[in-house]
Amino acid sequence: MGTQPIDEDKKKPRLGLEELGDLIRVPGANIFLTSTKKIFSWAEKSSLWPLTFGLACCAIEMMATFASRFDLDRFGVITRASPRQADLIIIAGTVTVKMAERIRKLYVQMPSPKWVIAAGSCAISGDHYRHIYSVVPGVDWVIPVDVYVAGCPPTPEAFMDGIIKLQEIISSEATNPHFNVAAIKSVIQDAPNEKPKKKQEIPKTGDYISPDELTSHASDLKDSGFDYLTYITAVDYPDTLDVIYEVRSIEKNEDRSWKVSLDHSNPALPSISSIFKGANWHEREAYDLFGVKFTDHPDPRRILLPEDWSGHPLRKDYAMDTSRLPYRPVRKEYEAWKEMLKKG
Amino acid sequence: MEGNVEERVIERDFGELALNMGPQHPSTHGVFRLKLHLRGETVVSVVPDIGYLHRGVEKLSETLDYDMLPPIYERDDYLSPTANSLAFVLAVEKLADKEPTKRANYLRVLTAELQRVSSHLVAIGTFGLDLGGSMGGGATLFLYCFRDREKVLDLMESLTGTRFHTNMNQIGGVRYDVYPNFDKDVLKLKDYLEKQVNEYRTVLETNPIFLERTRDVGIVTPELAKEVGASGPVLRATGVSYDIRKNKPYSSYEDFDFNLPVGTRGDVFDRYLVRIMEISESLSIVTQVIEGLPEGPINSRKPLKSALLLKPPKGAEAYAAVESPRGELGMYVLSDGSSKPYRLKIRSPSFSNIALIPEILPGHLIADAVAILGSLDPVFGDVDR
Repeated sequence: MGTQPIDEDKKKPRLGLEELGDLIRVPGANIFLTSTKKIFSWAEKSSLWPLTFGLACCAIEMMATFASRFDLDRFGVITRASPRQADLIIIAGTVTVKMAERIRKLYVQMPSPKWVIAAGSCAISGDHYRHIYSVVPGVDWVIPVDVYVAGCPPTPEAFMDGIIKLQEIISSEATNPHFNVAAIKSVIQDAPNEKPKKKQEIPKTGDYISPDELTSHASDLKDSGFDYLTYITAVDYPDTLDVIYEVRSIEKNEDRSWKVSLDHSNPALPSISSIFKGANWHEREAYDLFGVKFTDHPDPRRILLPEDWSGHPLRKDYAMDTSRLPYRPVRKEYEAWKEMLKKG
Repeated sequence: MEGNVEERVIERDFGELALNMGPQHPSTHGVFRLKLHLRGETVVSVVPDIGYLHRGVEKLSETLDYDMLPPIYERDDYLSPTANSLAFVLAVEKLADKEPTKRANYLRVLTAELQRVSSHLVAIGTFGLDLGGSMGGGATLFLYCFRDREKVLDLMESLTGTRFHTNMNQIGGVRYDVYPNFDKDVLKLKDYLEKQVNEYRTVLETNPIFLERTRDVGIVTPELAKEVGASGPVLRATGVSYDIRKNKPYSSYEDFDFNLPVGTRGDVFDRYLVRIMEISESLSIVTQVIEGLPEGPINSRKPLKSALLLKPPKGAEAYAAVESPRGELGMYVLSDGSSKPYRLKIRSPSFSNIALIPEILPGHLIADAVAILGSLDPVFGDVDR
């Protein structure tokens, strides 16, 4: 401090332009020589506009990075709600098969040049969900990724580091992959591997009722004050498929639970969604994950998985590993393109 | 032309307009899709679409040992991670007949209540973002709440090493003990946050725009809430005084003295009010934990290899529920005698709460849709699991 004369400081060009080209001083005017590519990439890196888009836990840390303490605005990073105005998409969270097509659509809608940050273990590789039937093991199966930010979830400091890394990349090459992401065809191998069932016996407890008396049982309980539906679920026992119901009386502070045993070949039950409105979604979930059919259900569709899914994943003979991956790996094309860039 | 020009208002029916909202939308609080049918600006019907974050946690549970599972569930409801793992360890402790120590119970309450504060701060902050300019500029409340949430996260970080996925709960106890002078940090935080909460309440509850947009909007009747299985602030805002912490105390909640804020009308404003009042109650519980923290070990099991060999009896089943910031978070566990669960069901509060949307949204303006959705405070890791 203080060793440099103030005059020297004033002569220096502002905004770090000296890195971009040569400043030639002539009497009366200064001449600045650079290339348009350098100027454009300098502008691009200084005003990155990411899409307001979060998937899971990492998105909460991303929000924290945008908010008060960490304040990403300092880097010229301001979120945009429309992909048409964004040039950066931060994939923060687990990418599922159902979401993959939407992510690709969003990416294609963004104008070029555009960049992608994969934040968090799930977006990088799927993390501990990577073998799950509904999860894509890394977003680079779907769109090309420029920067990977590690963490579960990454801290705001890691997010900022990722932004700085991306700015370095932009100022070094500033071009996007030339292959057309939209043209890459999806490859859906829709054949869940069947797994043999373990032979074992599990003792059953609880009150069992027959499927015929289910509706009257439920409405009787509702009339006697058990008007709160806690949950409905199913269990795939080795010999039967059991559906569990639990209701509650808030006034008496008591719970009632009962079970219905069904056959694996034709698991069908009457719906109780006319008695308890909340049963609608719980029954759809039991159908989706276990294949329990509810006759006279008002909306008998899948709820969590895409409607064209085959199989019921929480059955014991459904293998956890899926062969259903949505797209040909984009990553390979991207790597090949980068190699080509290096060679010139 | 001179003379009288007849002024006529031509009313034309443009029919219904289908509008897609999400899964990429800043106000859906995650990956949620609403297929809205509008007539003018009024919502006629709505079809919610969930499952965009379905990560198959229930299937994953069947492949991992009991002791490996609590950190997995912390990723479900990512605004209050310890509530998830707490429900799981309570269910397994019932199943395997293990009892946590008293000190562990108190520390579990401590983290759960701190995360309730941080979760409600996110809920209120993003709610302000949804309502737009109701606090003199859309982002103000959001920035205020996140500023104060950072202070809670700092405390969690000094206690456990991570900001919010704490991995605090273990079967039989907790992983981390409090550090020296922790009580001073907590009391400082409490004083600070109580002041801030009063400021939010003054600014919001005297703001005519905020009141106009929240009062008598999205009314849920107690009968509907019960039938759908809504819980937490959504249920209590309707006037039903039900809280797992009070009605079925777990983890030593019976030792603490706290009030249950209950609404009267069940509208968006009441849900906001229940949340912001719960922040003060949670802070009061946290100070009671610090004052009455019993001495002793923090885990009743030996932290060695024997931990991996937890095998509950064959055919045993248990359901344990906790009061997460969103409501009743329950875990149903069924054992087949091995070291892995045979079946695990997560009864998530957000799933039941957003099942209210097709019931309450029709008849409202499209602008109210985001207010109602924000007031239900869903977390989609919790909805889709």
